[in-house]
Amino acid sequence: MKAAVTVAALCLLLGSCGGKPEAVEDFRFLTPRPFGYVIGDEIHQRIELRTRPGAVIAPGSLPDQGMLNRWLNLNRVEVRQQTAGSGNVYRIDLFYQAFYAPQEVKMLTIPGFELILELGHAQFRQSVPPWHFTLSPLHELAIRKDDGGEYIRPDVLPQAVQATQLAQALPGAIAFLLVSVAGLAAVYGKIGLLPRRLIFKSAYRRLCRAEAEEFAVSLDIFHQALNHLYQKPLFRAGLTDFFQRFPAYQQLETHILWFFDCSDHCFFSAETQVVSSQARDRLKQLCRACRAIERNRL
Amino acid sequence: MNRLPLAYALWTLFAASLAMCVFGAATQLSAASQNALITQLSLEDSDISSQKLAHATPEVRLARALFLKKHHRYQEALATLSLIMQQGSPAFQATVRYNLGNIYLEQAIASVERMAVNDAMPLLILAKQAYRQALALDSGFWDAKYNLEAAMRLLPEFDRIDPDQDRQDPKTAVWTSVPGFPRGLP
Repeated sequence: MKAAVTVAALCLLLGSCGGKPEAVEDFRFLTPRPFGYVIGDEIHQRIELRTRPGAVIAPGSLPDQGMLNRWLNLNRVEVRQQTAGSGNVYRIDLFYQAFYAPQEVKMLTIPGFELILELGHAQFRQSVPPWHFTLSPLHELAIRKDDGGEYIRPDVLPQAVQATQLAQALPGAIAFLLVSVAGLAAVYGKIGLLPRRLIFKSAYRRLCRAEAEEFAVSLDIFHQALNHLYQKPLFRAGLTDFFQRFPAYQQLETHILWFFDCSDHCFFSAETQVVSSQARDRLKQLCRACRAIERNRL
Repeated sequence: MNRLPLAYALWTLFAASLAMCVFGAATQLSAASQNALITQLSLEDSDISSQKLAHATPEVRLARALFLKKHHRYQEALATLSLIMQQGSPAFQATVRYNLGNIYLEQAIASVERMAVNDAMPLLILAKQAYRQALALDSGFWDAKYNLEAAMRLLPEFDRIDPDQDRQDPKTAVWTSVPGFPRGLP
């Protein structure tokens, strides 16, 4: 019993000293190609780590962003943590940038560090190894000013000012404007979407199809046809002008007046309407008669 | 009567599209006038009035800074670039810093050529700083890499890369601390 307690105490001691990375189930250190870099290049390393349940990375164990030494910057550190089963999966992306100016191909080293994992009060260490790579110069050793050699690259001119996205949508806006103008003109009868000879033909077809619907729909269809012909909304007060402009329809004056009575009654009366089938038939006959006029048959 | 909602919808569409047309056209005209100023500064080599400069975009100010540099008005060029350093996209900011580095580096080279080494050293430090900032914003900026390397050849830095380098001949370090390109090789 005494021996077992001693072994357990030793294990705990070893664990708290960080002797074994027992908190880590899986560790992968992914690095890019180790050659072909030049000054200013960014180098991306990735650490993938699967921890045991309850183990988390100590916040301060990752290297700090900024200058690590005179020629090496750590631009960004991105840590993504996901829960996988009862443990955690970490993906740590490190973006280094090298500012060394070699005179020949030079091997450099990104220093390693130790990740500290905390599991309860115990700490475990996982070392991230140093990584070696080669950096090449861009200039030849002796920089020549003569013979077309360049000391330095020239200034970069500003690019042309780009209009905003809203301005780039100008053609679309113009198209919508035209569509809305055309639509408004059609609604207010300024333009006819159908030739005048087809206004009541189309209306009659729609009336036939609308028999199952409310009578108000049929009235509206016929009113739209009159508006379309008149090229503006036609009301009872405008009938004199209408008959002056379209004398052929004068012969239907009684029926058109009936239509307006019916329409007023249907839309503006407070009484409940009972529409007879005769009213529907009469409206259809009126529309047919108008169709005959537009075909010059009446 | 059923057409009333349609009419409202069409009026709404009309108003929205009209507003977009007016704003879009104004923006296009503004962009065109700013581009004309850039052309005037960079291609026609002619300065712009202070009134136009007051409403100029960062791109126009950058073009003016290059115009000022071309006419050896370095302090004005530096002031203009400092003003727009934080403006625009990261790519634009990188361009501003690169051009800033070029002003310092060209002045440093001129100083080295007239053997005014003490004048060159602070300029080289500023040039390297500007190029590094440009590369931090855009690590694929090849011209900045090229010029930073040129600046670092002129004024190398001496952090030890590995412990072996600590045993280098100290005379080498002294020699390379004097600004100047290595020359004389075949």
